[in-house]
Amino acid sequence: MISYADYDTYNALLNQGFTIVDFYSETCGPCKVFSKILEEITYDLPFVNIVKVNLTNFPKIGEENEIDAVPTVFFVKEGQILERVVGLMEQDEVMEKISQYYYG
Amino acid sequence: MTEQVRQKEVKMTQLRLKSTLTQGWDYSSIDIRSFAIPLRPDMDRYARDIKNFCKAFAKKEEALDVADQDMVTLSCSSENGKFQKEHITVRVGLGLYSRELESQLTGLSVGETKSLRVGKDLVEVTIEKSVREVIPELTDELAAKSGVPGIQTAEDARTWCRFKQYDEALEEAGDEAFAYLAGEVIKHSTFQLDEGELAVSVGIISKIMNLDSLESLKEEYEENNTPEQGLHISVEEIGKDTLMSAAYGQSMMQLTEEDYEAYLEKCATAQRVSVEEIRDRYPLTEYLINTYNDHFINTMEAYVFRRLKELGEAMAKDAE
Repeated sequence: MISYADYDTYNALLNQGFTIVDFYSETCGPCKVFSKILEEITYDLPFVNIVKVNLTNFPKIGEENEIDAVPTVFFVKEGQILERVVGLMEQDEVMEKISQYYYG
Repeated sequence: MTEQVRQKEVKMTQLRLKSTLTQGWDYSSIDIRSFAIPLRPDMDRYARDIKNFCKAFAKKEEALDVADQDMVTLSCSSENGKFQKEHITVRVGLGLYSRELESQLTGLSVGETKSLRVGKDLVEVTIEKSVREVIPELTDELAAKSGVPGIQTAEDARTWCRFKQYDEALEEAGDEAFAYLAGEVIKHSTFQLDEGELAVSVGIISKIMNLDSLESLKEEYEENNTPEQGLHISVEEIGKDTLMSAAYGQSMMQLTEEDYEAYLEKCATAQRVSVEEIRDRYPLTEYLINTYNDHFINTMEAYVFRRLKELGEAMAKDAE
């Protein structure tokens, strides 16, 4: 399931089991590529929550989380950030992280 | 003149940058043949894309047993605690939890508990639920319901899948061709640039990039390219190019006050603030530069991909 966070909903969306948080901006090409990867993943694994944060519209969320570049991805479980990855990830890499953190 | 008519006239007022294109180079006259690659369809990939197209209309049904690709909820336990999970969900066949365990789930019934040998471990697994997707066949009716622009029939969907494969094959070639084409168009066109708008454009680029990004971008360019290729290595140069692209884009479309107001409304709604508050965040000149620049880029990209597809299909045919 893909949700779009805003200033009011960001914190609550991170506390729903296992979540992948995708920080992106509207001018970022690699972010669009990663978006397609996440769409494929959410289709195959609908139980994985995906939260997208548009830093063009909500820059303060980026500042509070010290996001320097996009795309940046958080892997979160029960509200705790397990890993942050900066840059475009391949689908296989994301699946490995899901295997490690959702089932681990 | 009534107030309503006057307001409508204000909204339809065209918005223009002071910077202008004085002589535009025709981008279709630039030869990009050297970037084309022969495009031959991968039939296995084509079959998968057709299936994925129809997947959007898949119905999910609860099954009585487990088959490959089912979404299975299960609990498991082993003596050494290595396989100790309650109510987890796996998609059988992906192997994200345990490929060896998942391969033995096929054929088990919902409600069944079974001991499975996984490596050296004996794992007791209980199947709690199995959800199966039933993917329909591609028909004209399904294609029309897809909502994909230009797709009304099954044949349209097949053509779209064929070109989708080409889209991915062309991505890298297209990026290089686009960079070349856009560079040539700007290099051979002439512009009158406003100093104030130039400062705004440089400001936009500065906001997008931080110093770390600029430094690593410089390193990448110096490592991989030569100065003769005219690549940007400063925020000022990128800002100037952006304004020139915007001036070119302005020659291809017209923005009105109504467009700007609609954009502010959309941003205000997304950020849950008033339009008055959002106006400072998205000043008019920035909006014009960004939007005209986007239009220039989108037009060039669409042309490049269309042209590379034509050239690629012709090359594949010639090679047969």
